[in-house]
Amino acid sequence: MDFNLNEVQLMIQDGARRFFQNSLDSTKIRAIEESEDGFSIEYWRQLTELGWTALAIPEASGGGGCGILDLCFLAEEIGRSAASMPIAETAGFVATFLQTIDQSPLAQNLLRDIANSGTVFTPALAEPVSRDESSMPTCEFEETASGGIVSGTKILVPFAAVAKGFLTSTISNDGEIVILIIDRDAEGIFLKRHKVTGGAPLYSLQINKVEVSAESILARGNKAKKAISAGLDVATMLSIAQVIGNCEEIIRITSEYAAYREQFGQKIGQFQAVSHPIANMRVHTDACRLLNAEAAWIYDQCEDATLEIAETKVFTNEIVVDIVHSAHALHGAIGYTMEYDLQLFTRRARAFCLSYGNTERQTERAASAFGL
Amino acid sequence: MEFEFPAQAEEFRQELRAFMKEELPTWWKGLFKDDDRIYPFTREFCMKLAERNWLTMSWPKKFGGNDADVWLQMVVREEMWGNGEPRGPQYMNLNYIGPMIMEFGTTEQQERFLKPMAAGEVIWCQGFSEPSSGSDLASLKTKATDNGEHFVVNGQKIWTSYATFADWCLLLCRTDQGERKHQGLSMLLVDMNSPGVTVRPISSMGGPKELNEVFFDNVNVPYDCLLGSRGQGWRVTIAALDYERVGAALHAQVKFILDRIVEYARSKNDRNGKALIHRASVQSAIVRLHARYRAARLLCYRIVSDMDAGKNRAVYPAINKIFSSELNILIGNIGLDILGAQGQLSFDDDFAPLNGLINDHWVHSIPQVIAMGSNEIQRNIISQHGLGLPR
Repeated sequence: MDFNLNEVQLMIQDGARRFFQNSLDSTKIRAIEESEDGFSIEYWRQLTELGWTALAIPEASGGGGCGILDLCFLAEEIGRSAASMPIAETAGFVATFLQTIDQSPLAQNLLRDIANSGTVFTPALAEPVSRDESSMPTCEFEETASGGIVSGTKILVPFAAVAKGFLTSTISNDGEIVILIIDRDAEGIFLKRHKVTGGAPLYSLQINKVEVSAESILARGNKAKKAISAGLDVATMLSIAQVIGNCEEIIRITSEYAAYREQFGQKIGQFQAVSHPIANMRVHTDACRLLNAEAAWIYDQCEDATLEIAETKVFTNEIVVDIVHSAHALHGAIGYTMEYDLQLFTRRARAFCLSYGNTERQTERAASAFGL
Repeated sequence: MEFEFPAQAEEFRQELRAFMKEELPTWWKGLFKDDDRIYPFTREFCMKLAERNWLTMSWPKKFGGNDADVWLQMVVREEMWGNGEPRGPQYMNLNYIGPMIMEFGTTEQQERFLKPMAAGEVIWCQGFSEPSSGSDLASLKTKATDNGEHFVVNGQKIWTSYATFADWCLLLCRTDQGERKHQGLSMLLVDMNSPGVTVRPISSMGGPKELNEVFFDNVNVPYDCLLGSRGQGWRVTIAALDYERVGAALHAQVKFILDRIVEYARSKNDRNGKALIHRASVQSAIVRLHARYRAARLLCYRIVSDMDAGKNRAVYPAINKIFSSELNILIGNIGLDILGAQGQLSFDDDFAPLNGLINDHWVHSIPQVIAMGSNEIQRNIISQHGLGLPR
């Protein structure tokens, strides 16, 4: 039992924090969010060159061979910066998925691409009829002699415009789940960026009779389900780490404001009606970080962490909403403006609660893992 | 970071559990019951722990301890708090009164006071709060005047737990008038059998004798019972509060209650004849509580890990105290709601579900946000030491 960060974790935390402080201030973050793709692959590539995005990929595939817990420290720093980066999606979901399935040459290549070149592959899971990423797909896969034809609609596909390919969940004629890679430039793909609270680049994806080769099938049936579930677990932990970073920044901004702003002839931070809610943010953010770290640690030991991950998400969803609204209440109107940075974190944090399992869904998972 | 309990600590936990199973009488329902058998039992129980060298195991050997690993000590703490604290008031000796005497006491004081603590023979109480000094502790008025031969104490303490049974009192009082209220305070070790000490129980929601007033009427206290130097009382107190905050494994209490709630929900049917545990709202409550229990446990471990690494961050105990005390209140209230109308039945009522455990837990959760430094004071600590907010 040791809650002090080890050397690798300190190095990632310290290095990543300096990276974001030096290269991505909030002016740049705003500009990137408003740009066409909503993402700057340049910074993602830089992080990849430093070896950080592939930390949790095995060394044999060109990664760092570290654990998800280590990667969480990078995700938290991304969250602090409010940058939109496919840490949960590519480094988390896709990389885990590819490691969990039987490793075809294609899967090996994709993993190496992610580790070495900073290539973005992204999950295309959610659909208009589904509640979230973990629902059964309705996107059709019609098997042919040379491979198959895919048709359907995916929504909330992250980083779709810059992705090289989509890890797409489909259903075959005989009702089997089939996961395959679809090239972004394939004929019959139409992308449209959503307008979303968090500002992340999410897209709807029309898949109109897209032909795929037999090699592009990554997994099917129970193996596919298992890999999706593992991928979502890791993505959940990394997204929690990001929102912890969001919360840290909310605490910093709010504390600074309370220490500077004067009303009734004194700093408002001297009023306990102001300082105590910020202290509560600190209590809950710390609790959240420890829960997530323990879940990641258990996952890294190759043990079942379903209960811990689901419970952490339930807890985080609850406290994040409190933190966000409390921060706005303490700021007054200035916090509501687009010019002030608070909104960047508010919007991302609120969107987080709805991704990778809302409270209802994660409560169900936790209850089942608890044996209820 | 690493989240595994040392294997040695887990083995010890099993050993300790077997011992508790053997030693806890069937009538034992926890420390805070109105039952005359309780305090004599806790003394006996502590002596048995001491015989096995488990009572003060983390203390240094020269003070009657065993230099045990901090995680073994955590096991003791959890198993005790998870079973209604059968050590009785002596957890205070172990957690902070003893360590304070190690830090500030003279060699003679260490010899005289630590040995009986390590043997499990002595009960101490804490004389800090006064009728007009609660959170503003340093404003206290109880006075010790130096008459040239010894100190003479006059004044009143209040909310003193265990005072009716205590042998000694850790008494914070004013020996001198300083420029600021924190100056001129001193810590005295007062024999509760001294002439002039009167204890009067205060009937509370927790029972007729849980809290007391203690009156000091010309009580003579010898010079050799001054802990630390004269006027250093505030420093000694701050150290005491730091030691104290690690001491209570409030999360172990939560776990004990949560396990009972789950058992109850499995065994009790709803109006449709299905076990309560199948209801989505009950499952949701359990998940919510279990997540928070795990967080409270980690926040408590973090303090130990921090101290183990030779650091001692003031905000960690404050964070833990706020979170776990509020969780105890939350679980009491959610638990009562799950019990429904029967939840209000007292522990001595024949029809009380779970022998009134949840109701009793709820009552005793009320002062948890007040004891050991109110949660408002804890939030001040976080604001000033953790967030850089102005005083």
